[in-house]
Amino acid sequence: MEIIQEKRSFLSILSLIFGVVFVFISVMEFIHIGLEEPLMFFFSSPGDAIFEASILDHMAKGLINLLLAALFLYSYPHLKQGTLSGFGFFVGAGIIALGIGALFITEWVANLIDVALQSISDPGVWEEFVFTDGIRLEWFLGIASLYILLIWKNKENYLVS
Amino acid sequence: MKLSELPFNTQAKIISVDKKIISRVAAMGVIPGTEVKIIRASPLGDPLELEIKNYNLSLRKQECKLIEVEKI
Amino acid sequence: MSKNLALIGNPNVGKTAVFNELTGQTGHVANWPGVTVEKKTGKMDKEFDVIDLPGVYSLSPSAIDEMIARNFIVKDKPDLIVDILDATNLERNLYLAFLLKELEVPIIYVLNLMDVAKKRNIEVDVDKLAELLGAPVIPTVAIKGEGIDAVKTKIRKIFSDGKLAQKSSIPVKYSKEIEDKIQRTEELLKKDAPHFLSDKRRWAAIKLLEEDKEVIKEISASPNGIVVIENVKRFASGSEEFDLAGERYNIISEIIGQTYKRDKDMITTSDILDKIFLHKYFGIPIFFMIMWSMFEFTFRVSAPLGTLIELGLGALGDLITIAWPEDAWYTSLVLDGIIGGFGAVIGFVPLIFTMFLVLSFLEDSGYLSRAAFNMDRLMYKLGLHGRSFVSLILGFGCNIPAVMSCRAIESEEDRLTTILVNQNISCGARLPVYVLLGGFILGDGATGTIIFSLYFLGIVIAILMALFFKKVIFKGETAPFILELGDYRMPTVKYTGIHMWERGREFIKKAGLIIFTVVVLMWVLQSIGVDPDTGLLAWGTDPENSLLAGIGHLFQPLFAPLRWSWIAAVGIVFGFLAKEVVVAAFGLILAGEEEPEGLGKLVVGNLAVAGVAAAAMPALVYGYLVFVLLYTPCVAHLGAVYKETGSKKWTLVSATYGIAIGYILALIINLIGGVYF
Repeated sequence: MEIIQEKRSFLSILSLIFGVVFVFISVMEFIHIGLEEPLMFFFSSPGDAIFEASILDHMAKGLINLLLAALFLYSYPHLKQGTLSGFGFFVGAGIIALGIGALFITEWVANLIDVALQSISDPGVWEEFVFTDGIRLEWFLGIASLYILLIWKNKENYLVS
Repeated sequence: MKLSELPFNTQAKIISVDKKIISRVAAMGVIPGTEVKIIRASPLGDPLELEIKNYNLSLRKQECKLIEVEKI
Repeated sequence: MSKNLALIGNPNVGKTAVFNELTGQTGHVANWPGVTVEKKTGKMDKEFDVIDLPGVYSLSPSAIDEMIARNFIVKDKPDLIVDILDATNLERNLYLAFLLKELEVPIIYVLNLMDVAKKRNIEVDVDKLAELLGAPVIPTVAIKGEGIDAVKTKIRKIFSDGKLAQKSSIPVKYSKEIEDKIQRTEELLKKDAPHFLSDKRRWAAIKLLEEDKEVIKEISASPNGIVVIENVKRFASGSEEFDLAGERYNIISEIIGQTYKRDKDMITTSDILDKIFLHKYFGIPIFFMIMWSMFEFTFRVSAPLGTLIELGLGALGDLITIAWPEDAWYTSLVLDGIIGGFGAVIGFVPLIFTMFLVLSFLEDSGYLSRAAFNMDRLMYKLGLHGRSFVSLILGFGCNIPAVMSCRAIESEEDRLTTILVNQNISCGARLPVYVLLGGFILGDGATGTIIFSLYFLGIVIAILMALFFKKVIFKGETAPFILELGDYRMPTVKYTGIHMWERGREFIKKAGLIIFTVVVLMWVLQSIGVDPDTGLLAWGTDPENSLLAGIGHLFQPLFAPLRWSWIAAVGIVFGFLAKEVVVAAFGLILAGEEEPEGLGKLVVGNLAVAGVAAAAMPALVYGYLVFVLLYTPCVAHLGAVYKETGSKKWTLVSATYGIAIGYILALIINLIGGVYF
């Protein structure tokens, strides 16, 4: 089985776009850390007030998005060749992206509720929340990766034996 | 040849299974006459994933050495 | 008298779902071969006892769970066996069906997962299959409850007709050569050991020809048994086990050919997902990504629920302060004891439930067997087995079921090692302590990462200890790795929920009983104290002079080299009874003190003896958490280790090595963190 000739370039470009967007998100996560902070992390003793920022959390998220980017970029040449395994890889990466996206969104909603509860006693927490967690790029990807599922559902339109 | 030497994605037929493991693998469908194919190795190289009787089974290379197969 | 129904089937065929639907009870559906090791029973229609046997592929004596199933059938003689078959993989499932047929027991077949089979264009001729198997076959989709009524009706009908599916006891006919040998063995048995399994003589003969260890052992113990074995050896070629397996599959192929059609080229979602989850380069990074995300998720999602409970308890406390007399003993019990201590535990219920939700999801999705496949090489290098990996993963929920799940591991050495290293895997009960104090090491934002580091450290210690046990103490061969990579299944909300609830319920029960008792005990100990003026015991003395403080002071010298205060010592001592009460102990001891920034801050302020610099506190707190991670999980865990190993020696080893390693690591962390300067 392989991918229909006409769909190959479409799928490969799609995976390229996804790959690039994930690289972008990953970079955003790393920048979120701030340029000076990683240096401070290495040059100061634990317990200093600097560690209020969740450096390591952003770093982990940056790495996750980088991994997703790698998955999509890796599938690009295989989709171009039209192999079945390329198709499988692309869809699989989409499903993982969807799962991670769903995870982040649930997390964000939970954060939102938590901040809302805390704001009963301390309205100041909103300000911090808007700046640190207000907009998350993963959402758009979570939703966009739904599109990949749609491709999988209609796989007869893409594959030929 | 031994199952551990079979190239990936090549259909083969089991000829014999060592007595040491037969009681363990027979229930999983690993018996002479059955068709088998190696799909992939684990990321760390071992164990192997086999396709046998329409399902996926994982065995270590060590056990695959005890299974004789021939290409078909 | 009630009738016994025994459910049996391969792992992952939805056996537990059938059990739940038949009995109307909540149960546990796992996608991992070997989780259902516990025997589970329920009632159907009040007159049938339903027994859920372990998921097995065969009835060989080499694995404990297969022996449990086999012994139950041979010795307890259930009135009816319900064999659950996977419609998507009928061929291999029929192998067990044929082993059961050889036992000549009343049987019916449930053909489950019909929905998945339909999706894959698999066609099964159910009537023909029933005819060829000689017993009723009922198609179902157990997880949705479809076809269950038909199963129930059939069972009732079988018992009301009194026919007990007689047809199913028609024995399987093998080739003439084999049949001859079976007959000769049967005659030998009849002559020399007439009482040995007299109602299952044909089966006993087959097992003797197969040189089945268990049957040989049993017959050797009976008079003239040895004679039978000797005589059988004269005409047996030694390859009967082999030949019989082949012949069973020949008959099965025949049946499959007549009743079963499938699309060869079908690619399934599982195939697609495996391309990526088991990928050469991406498989392991994805594994770590999943693990990290799961902990992060647990921590974040439970936060608002925890806040909500805290707010509620706070409001309740305020109400009580206003309404009840300030100096009454019951006000103190409720405020300090129940809200302060027990409430601190209840606040973590959402956290533990989320943790179980995540674990249940992973288990039900089918990813765990992939994780074992990805990690087996590593486990093997450590002298462990892929199955050990799943036990270790279960330990993240609770070490007790994890220790019990080791029964599925065949080799004794592997099993002991897995049991002994499991305690290093951080269970849910330890999590509240990390959450309470984790924010004071690298700041609030890094709590998740600190927690991850503790979990990771636990894994590292488990690995090192496994190496130590396997290479130094038990030098045995590791059992073969035979693992089915079953289909991924989208976990259903219902069953993941049930699964989470079943485990979470255990926590609540524990919280309700042990923890409540311990907390009230602690409150009493805290309320009674030595009056400094009279030197006598009195009620309501200063907390500094209470018996609880006395216990703390008694044990504090043990922790003096670590610079821990008596309050820290109280947490450790009571944490030995149950880790959940560590937080409760702090809540109770510090109930009288005011701290707007919460209990964690207060605890950190009181954790060290006087003279430890503020800059060194993060290290001291981290060392404390490391000790909490590594010392004995709880008394109940030791009980489970004793039960499973049956040895006082190994139980003692389990208790002492954890404490020793925890203590040494805490010392080292203190040294590095500058606690002593």
